[in-house]
Amino acid sequence: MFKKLLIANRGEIAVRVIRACREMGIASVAVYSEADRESLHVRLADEAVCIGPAPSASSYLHVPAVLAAAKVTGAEAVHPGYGFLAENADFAQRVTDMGLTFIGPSPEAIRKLGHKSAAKALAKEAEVPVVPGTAGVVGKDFLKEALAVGLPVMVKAASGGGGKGLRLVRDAKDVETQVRLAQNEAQAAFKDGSVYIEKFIERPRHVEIQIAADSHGRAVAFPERDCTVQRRHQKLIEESPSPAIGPETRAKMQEAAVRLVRASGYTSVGTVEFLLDTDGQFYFIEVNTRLQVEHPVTELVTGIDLVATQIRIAAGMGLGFDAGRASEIHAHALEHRINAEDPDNDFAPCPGKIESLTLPGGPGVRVDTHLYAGYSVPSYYDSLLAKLIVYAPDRASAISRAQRALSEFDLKGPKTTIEFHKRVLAHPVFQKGNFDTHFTETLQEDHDRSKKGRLAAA
Amino acid sequence: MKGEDISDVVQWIKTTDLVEVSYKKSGKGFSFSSGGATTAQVPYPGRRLKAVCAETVGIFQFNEPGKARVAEEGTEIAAGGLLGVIESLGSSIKISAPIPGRVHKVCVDSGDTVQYGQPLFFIEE
Repeated sequence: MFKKLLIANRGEIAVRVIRACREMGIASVAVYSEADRESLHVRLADEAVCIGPAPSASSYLHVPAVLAAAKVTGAEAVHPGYGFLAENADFAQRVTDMGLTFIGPSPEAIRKLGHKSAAKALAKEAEVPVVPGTAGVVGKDFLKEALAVGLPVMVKAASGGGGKGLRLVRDAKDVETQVRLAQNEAQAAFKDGSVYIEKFIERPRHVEIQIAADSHGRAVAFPERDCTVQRRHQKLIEESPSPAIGPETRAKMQEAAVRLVRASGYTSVGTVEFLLDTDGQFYFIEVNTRLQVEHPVTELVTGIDLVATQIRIAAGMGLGFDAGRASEIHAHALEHRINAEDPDNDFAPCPGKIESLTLPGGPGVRVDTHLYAGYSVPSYYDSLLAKLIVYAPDRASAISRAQRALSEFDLKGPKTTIEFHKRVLAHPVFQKGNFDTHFTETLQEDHDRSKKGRLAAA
Repeated sequence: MKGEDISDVVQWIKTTDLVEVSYKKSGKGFSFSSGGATTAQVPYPGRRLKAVCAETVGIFQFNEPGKARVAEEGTEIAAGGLLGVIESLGSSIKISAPIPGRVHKVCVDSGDTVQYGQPLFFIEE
């Protein structure tokens, strides 16, 4: 086991990894920018090294500074957390070249699976369902190809994104016009008018499978996480198990995820993301080759420490549990990402000093945070303040418990999204469990309407 | 816009690390700069001292291997004059005097691990 580990990250995840190190008897090294001098992860670590000025590019993303800190402190391993350098294959390579262990998959695995189309190709080979579409770019017979995929479809530029060359087609009579428009747009934007066609998934749910694989050939899948409550593609609430999945679909998704892991030779923890269609079909979208923000949800459902598992795998040890154990559902868990954002002002970020703080507690409540009363939230980094995770015997009790916990959460200073989370939990659609990724739009519309109603009545 | 209208905003800004804030709505607004402190200038009664801080993480040495130490307390130094080097990941990064003056204080020793922002020398103008 490693004697000393450097955490190449900040905020709540750095605190999380330092806690795992403390429990495993590993000395921890924190790195920090000048803006994070007073940060909790710096205080908790056994050693801390200032690596640069506030901007991430000059500090947390500045590879030479992070590597130099590892060298001078004698760290044996580097944990990248999530974001920053976590999925940077070059960084993983440089850590390895220095003779240190990168807590994560190999640089090759990061490269292979981090590339969306390469991952999709690998998924197809592993017989993992992918979003149906044309095998490659469309030829002259594109109407036939579109109909074979099944309407509605998305026409997509092969050489680029950003919405260019992207066209939604619902009717067979529009296929020809829209494909030509997309081709022209793609030609203008990317000098390549090739397009391909994919099935358009209307009201998807986002369901992902946590996996773990060691270097001794064992690969397991955990119960799924449903991350459908999102705003502008940012996850806000995650839960496990998914209210939309039954045991059969769960088993199929877990098997598919493990097949992909084995086909790619992936080791460490990771997450295979799927879209779930209204007819219960699931389609692979991408692999996250790192520990995720929402990992605590799975930790509370299964009782397995994923960070400790990740470190053990990196140290060459076996998982210590089998597929059956990994799959056990002991509770229903719900995570709320509390951000320093103003939900009444288009979720604008609100850095600032935390004047007072009371965190929720009691049965079935976990808070992962780097906050403390008197701490000033810097403006340079993401707005995640805390993750409130609750667990209970079933979904209804978990929702009740989350409401209880949120009512205890008292933070004075920056505006937070706590009220937004309360609104979600109170909404009948969320409580029924039958919603898709457009749910937060519905929530916002309902909220705006009721605000207008109150103003009109006043 | 009157000062008192934005005093709440100014109070809030002071609790953050924001250096410059500018707000405009329908053509009206304000901008505010908090002056942005840097660590370079250190006021000291009767003297003007400039701190020379590390900008790299590494091991400090007074000169490259085999070469003699230049900077001692009291040494007169020209702008750009060599004060020391930081060895980091196999490279030697030179630390030079930013202004001409006298080495007032040496804050590190040969072989010390240094971090970003750590004061190495104080130069008296």
